[in-house]
Amino acid sequence: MNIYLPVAHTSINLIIMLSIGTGIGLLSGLFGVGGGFLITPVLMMFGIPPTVAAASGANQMVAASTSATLTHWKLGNVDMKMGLYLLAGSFLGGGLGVQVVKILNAMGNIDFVIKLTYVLLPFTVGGIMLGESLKKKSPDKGHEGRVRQSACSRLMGSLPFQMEFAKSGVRHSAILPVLIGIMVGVLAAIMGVGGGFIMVPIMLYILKMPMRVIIGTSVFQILFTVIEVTFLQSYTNHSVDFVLALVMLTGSSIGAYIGTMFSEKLNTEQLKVLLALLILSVGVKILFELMSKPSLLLAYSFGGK
Amino acid sequence: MGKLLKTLLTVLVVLLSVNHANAALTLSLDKKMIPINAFYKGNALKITGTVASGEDVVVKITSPLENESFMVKEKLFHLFWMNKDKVDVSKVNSVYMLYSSADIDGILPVAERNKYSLGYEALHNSVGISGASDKDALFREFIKVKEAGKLYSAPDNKVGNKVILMPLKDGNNSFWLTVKMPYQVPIGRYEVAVYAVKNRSIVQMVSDNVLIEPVGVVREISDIAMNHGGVYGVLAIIIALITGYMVTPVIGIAKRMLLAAIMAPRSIINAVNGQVYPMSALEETDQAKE
Repeated sequence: MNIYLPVAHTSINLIIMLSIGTGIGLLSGLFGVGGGFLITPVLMMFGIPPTVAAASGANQMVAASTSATLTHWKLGNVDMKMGLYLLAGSFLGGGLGVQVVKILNAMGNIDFVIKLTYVLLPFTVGGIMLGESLKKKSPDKGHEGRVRQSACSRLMGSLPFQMEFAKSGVRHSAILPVLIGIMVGVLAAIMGVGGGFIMVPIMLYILKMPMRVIIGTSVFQILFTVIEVTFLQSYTNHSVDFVLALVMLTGSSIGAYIGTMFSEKLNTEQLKVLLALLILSVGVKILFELMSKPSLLLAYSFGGK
Repeated sequence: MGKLLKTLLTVLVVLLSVNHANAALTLSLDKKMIPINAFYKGNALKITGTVASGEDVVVKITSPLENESFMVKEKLFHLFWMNKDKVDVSKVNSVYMLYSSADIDGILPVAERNKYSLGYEALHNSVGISGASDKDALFREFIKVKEAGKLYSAPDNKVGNKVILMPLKDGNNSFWLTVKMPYQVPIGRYEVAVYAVKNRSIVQMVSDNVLIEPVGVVREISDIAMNHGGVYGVLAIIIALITGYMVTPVIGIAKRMLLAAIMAPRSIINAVNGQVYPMSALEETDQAKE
């Protein structure tokens, strides 16, 4: 059964798209990530234009993060103060990112930038995660990490506007979460992701927040970031296809539920290694695409059909 | 006088024969409009008509002439393929489909094909290309892009045996062609032109139009997204928020229904065996897990 997407102007097989959504949901449920970083490249593989894939991915994340934020809010896992500073940054970043998309779209290079971002970030994050997981097996390398950590801590400690974040039990400059928020906001606009897979390691390794608060605060901030990005993408680039977002969301909700049930029965360290490998494999695939000679050497320029 | 009469008679015979040919070529489309609805995946367009006996038929489906811009992909830093230079292709159809009852190269000379823009070679001669050094190579890439998008079809002019001819009792032929209009063909009005070919020249042409346009919910959503981006954005967010809010309760209900369906046979078996297995116990177990 096919359905026609009114903004992407393409026809998709509903069963296939629901299955993909379920598959991505299954992975996000298993690994505890939003799945946004998987949705955009998969949609591109199925012929959805990159700008529509990224913008609709952000729209899908609104629904996914609403559900997660409500749950964490009830459990008291949201650091409101930290969340608001992150939010201020991500609002700026989101607006900046949408303008970047608009300019690159006009230049005809948005596809390349989206794909390149999907190579660089998965390699960085996947590499760090894999490194951290493997490092635990070799304690000798701990010293180097401590030296790097202390240099980073000194830099953060020297920044102005230091303040307490009571819920997280940490003290940081207000500039730090704002800068992190800007980075995540730009990524949300370009990649169509919530930024959880960037935000969580940063909160854990740089901001030193407790894991319980990290997830809740991350989804709270992501919710408002993707709301902003969805609005700006609709208003500026007319690239949000909410029919597509709804289809993906339906599948991913079912998948996430099943994935969460299975994740309870699996080893956490094994899951981390698997997630790192998954993120790296996405990066390798897109890198291969960028380096291989494309079958078509022409692409429609902005305004073309 | 006799010579004049002979000339007049010859002219009359020619005129009658031309008139006969003109009368023979007819065209009929099974639909004037192809609606894009929520379940659209392309549509078939049936093209039928009549043509004089001994004549071949060429059918051309085109969008209006326009200008299109493309980016040429090149390998940068010997590493990544990315869009580099912009090229413009002017006076070109964004959609071009060609069919015929015989091999076009065989039934029409180059001059006639060029005159009526029939085939890729003729198109190459009529379009304007600017911004590219090798225009032949660029045109080949242009055709590859169009064919990959299912917007062009006329491979190497060898398009015979697509239009089917059937003899009629009145001495004419009927022709019949079904064209699959793929979903990739954009919204717009398309001209369906039919050419009658005799003795390596086109003797008559008739045409009609078919419109592809969105209807119903697709039209509404598309209109709001393109013309009222702010309203569309707010709607998309509200729908996503409501969906997100509803996800957990809906999955909870679905889970309870699934468990009830699984446990129902066991309850019946237990009841038959004289044991009582209340459904509320299941719910309590479920709540305890949560």
